Amino acid sequence: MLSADAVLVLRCQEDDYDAFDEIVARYKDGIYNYIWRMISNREDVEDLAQEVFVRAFAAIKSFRRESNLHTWLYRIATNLCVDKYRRDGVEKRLIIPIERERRDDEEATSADVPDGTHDPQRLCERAELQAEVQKALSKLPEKLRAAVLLCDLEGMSYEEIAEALGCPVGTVKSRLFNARVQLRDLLKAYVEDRQ
Amino acid sequence: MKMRSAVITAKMLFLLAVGAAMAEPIDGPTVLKRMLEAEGRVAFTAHQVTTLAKGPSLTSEQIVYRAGFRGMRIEYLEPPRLKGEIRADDGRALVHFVPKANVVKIGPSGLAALRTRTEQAAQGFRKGNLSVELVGKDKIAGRTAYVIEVRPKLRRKAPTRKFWVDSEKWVKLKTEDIAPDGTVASMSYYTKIDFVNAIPDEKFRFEAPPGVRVERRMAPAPVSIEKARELVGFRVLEPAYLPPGFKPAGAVVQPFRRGKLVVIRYTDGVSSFSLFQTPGRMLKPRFLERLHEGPVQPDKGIYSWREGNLNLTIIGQLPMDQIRKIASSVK
Amino acid sequence: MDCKAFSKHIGDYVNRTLSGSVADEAKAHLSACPQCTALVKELEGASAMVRSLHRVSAPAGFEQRLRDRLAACKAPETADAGRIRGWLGAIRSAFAGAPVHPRRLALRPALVGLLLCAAIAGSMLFVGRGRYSERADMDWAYIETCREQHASFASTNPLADESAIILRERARDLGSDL
Repeated sequence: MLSADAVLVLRCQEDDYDAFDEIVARYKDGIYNYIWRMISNREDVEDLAQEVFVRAFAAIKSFRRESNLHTWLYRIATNLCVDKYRRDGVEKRLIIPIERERRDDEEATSADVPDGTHDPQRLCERAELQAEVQKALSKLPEKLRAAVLLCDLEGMSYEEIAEALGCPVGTVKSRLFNARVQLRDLLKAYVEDRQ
Repeated sequence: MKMRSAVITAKMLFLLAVGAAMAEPIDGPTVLKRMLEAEGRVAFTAHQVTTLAKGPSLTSEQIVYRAGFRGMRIEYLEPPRLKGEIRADDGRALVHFVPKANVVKIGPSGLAALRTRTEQAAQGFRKGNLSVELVGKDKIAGRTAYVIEVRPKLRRKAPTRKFWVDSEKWVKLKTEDIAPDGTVASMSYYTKIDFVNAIPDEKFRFEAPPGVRVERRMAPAPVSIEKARELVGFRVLEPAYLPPGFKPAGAVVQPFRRGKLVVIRYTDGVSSFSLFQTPGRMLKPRFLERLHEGPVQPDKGIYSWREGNLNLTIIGQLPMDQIRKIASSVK
Repeated sequence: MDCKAFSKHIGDYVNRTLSGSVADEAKAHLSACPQCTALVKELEGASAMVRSLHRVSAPAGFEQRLRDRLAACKAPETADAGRIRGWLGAIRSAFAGAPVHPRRLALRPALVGLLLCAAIAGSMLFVGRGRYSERADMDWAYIETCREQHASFASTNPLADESAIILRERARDLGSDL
């Protein structure tokens, strides 16, 4: 039986663009979140996230039903992020917004505060920790960063990550391993605290 | 002495006669008639549970507001994936809000069609195909209910509908759809119901919140089969064979891709099926294989085939052998 | 299983994708090997930290800005006016003179945008008409249309269980998510 995504793709291919609106509605947050963690420069995130859908829109007519819409969108997103780094160079990577600043100008939904605590001290510590994790992530090579984000942030399987990154499953496993080893080294102090 | 006893006897007989005339016998047909009449009359709010036995096996819980044919509103509470969804029907349009997809879908009112069909059913069922039996009494949502079983007369192996009808307000409190083999395919029942005098009209309308996308479904009006023939540019086919008890119940013509799609509907009062036809290059053999190889539900089916340049599909609550028999008689 | 053998499976162990006898052997090795256990804990810790990152949502107005961006492109010429629904339909109506929300026609003069739009329009013209009638895939969409139509008829039978029919349709729409 056809998945909901496949039906949406078919409808787009039949010029029913309400279906494309629904695709955007379903995936905008996931894609935005992924790109936000991939490139860390807040000004560029929305532009890139929109670009994902612009490209998807352009190519939807030749999208094959056997493929997975979900991984296809992340593949477009990954390629855009990797290309961006090649263009921008290293310096931009080190601009890390402190998580807490976000709360001033963007609405935080309940999903944004996983442990539900509103204790300012705890929030402050969490914010610092999150900033450190983000800094460590941004120091990873893009391909490793993408693999670990797709696995731990998006919950994708090896096969899905392989489709999204365009590499074999074996490569996905080794990238995940290397990514986590590097994160461990970068976050040694914090990792030890969590034990 | 004789005169007095004669007068007393006459009085008693008179009272008995009056009493008998006032109290209609509570039998299956009476309960069904009152249930159908109450559809348009009663207003209430209720908590409802709906369970599907299989294909998929699933249970939902919802709050229901109903005011006859003037309005209906359903708010889903369970399962989590449906929570927050709202269906609001004000007799003119049905608005379905899906917050998780950030969309509001607007389509033709279901209540308007329900009203027509209820009136037809209330008038015609005695002469028609339905056999209604009162099988007992029960308590649902704390209220006493008559239990009736409805099945088509002319088909032996057919599904049965069982209704628990409130003995005071005649509202259906519980419905069971029972497959021909006796198993329950689905059921819906109220766990709590409050009868009210009126529900404000606003309850049955839904305004899309800002930022929510609006999708409008087409709402072609049902037409007669003859009218449908006039409206389309191709020859409309009909089945020569219909299972016992089934009659045509109108047609719908809607735009589809570069042409038109005609739907002819059939029902025997309990079950129904639809015949779709549209010209065009569709339904490749490989596709038809995959369509027909899916899990077969014993009492529900879908079957597609090509006839010249026409693509035809039957969907309905019928066993596959019946569907194929109908299909092979279409010309 | 020794450390060398375990190191082949450590990734799967941390991802919890090990099963069967290999999983048992891995667990057994860990219970006896403090070095591998320490490494597993560190890698799991790194994974947990990434998982603990809170999710960022697309900002308000994202979809509208995206529509504005796509609206700068030519509407595809492959379909009839009646069939393009939604906001692109609104653009076509605008060209035909019908009133439309002015924001939807916001044009971005950026050169890159225009070039990309030309590419999109070009690719749609190319891909649209040619493969349209050849794909058997669209048959599934036709079947879905028929299913919806039938469900809306079946559910208006006063002797049907409308709630069950609607629930079945929602379940189909949402696939296995329910």
